[in-house]
Amino acid sequence: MNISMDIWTWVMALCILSIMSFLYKENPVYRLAEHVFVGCTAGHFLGVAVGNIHRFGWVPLNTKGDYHLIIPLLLGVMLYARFIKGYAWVSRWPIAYIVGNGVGLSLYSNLWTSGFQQARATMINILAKRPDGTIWLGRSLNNTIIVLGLMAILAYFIFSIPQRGPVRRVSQAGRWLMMITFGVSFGNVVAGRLNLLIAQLSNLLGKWLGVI
Amino acid sequence: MNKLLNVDRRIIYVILVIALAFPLIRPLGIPLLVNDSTTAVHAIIEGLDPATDVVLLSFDYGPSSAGDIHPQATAIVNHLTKRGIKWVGVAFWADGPMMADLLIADLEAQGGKYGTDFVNLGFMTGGENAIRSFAVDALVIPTDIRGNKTADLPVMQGIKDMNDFGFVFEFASGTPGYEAFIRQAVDPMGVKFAAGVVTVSVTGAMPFYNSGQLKGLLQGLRGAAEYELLIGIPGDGAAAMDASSLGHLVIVGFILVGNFAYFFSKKKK
Repeated sequence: MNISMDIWTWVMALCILSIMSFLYKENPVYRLAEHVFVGCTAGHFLGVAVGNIHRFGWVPLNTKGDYHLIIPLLLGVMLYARFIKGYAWVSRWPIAYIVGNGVGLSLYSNLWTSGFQQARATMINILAKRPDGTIWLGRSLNNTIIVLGLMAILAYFIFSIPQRGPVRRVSQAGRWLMMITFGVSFGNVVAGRLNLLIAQLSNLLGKWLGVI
Repeated sequence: MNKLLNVDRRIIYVILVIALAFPLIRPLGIPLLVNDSTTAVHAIIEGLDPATDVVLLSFDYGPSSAGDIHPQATAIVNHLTKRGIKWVGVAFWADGPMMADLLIADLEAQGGKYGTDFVNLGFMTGGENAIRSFAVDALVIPTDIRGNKTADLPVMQGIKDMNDFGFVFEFASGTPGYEAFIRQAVDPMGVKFAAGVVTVSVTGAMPFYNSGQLKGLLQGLRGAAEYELLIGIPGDGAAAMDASSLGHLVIVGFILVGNFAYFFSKKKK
């Protein structure tokens, strides 16, 4: 064991232990760590925001004479008009600009990226071949699952025809596939949370206590 | 059976923490297979020319997801350093520059030259809009995190937009993330792009890897461990894999015991 003598490593370890103490029960040490965390985060983001206005707005405006930057700076100031009684409507202009800009930028690209491109990726040859011309069994099975799975799941969402007979069987298969997918997603959530816990245990056992 | 159905959750926490801590102290050496999505990233970096290619790394994560992503960033940067490839760091998440600086501090201690071999351009606000803005004009960020003019940095010479980078890699832990890069840079501009995502996002990212929009994918901490294996430099990822595997086994055990107790008690009634 080689316990760290660095004060910041001790602060880190005590913060981790304080937050983890919530697993036992709610307590004042946990509350303290929680408030410190919220305060630090708010302070950090405020600093980053002010730094950004200075770096991307104020400095180029003053040093390079980029006077067009007055427009976004003014729009930013206008956002705060909502706190002035009688002038709250002024804040709608920058909000309209932000929303319009965001929608304009993502509407077409979203349709293309997640719609057309993804649909195109399912239009594949089920029988996959290796570069030497032999059949690639693993990839062929994967392609078959993609194509049949997509059709089964789409069948589940067809509401304009009665879900009877073969349609019902296919749509039920689609439901099973969706359940499996949700299960995989949930499994990944559990794995992700375990990884975060492992990282904190590594910090405690490695950086702080020096046993690994 | 009732006892099993009403186990105090704190006992489960203790068992889980022991199961995770034990392999960290005494590694078990559970074998690890490498996914082809990880091999694809490795192959792209191996194919780059150190004399001409510069890589863009987007650090879009913070301390909250560092457990999953930072080992990936360490492994990728180690590979680039090993091959002598220059890289530019940028962030569309406010905490990103801080995470990049952790790596840069290590590289400078090893003799790497800031500004020539690597640079940290810092955080650019605006989410997806900022990604688009940087994609079409890489000099839109006027100064790096240390106040140097971006256009004057040796590593930035010849770079005007995102297509001038030989390869773009994003360490993604949320929004904006890999999808914003695909929407704003990959599909419209043909940028060669791959991503490392948190374990939670793997299922969502796989269709983009299958479609070829992502040229490679590092899947959470496991992806980092696989990459460490490929480059032959062990790090935090490989060390944590035994713990991860044992943790999963314990959880599967809990699920089995819980279900067994539930069905047995139901049968009794």
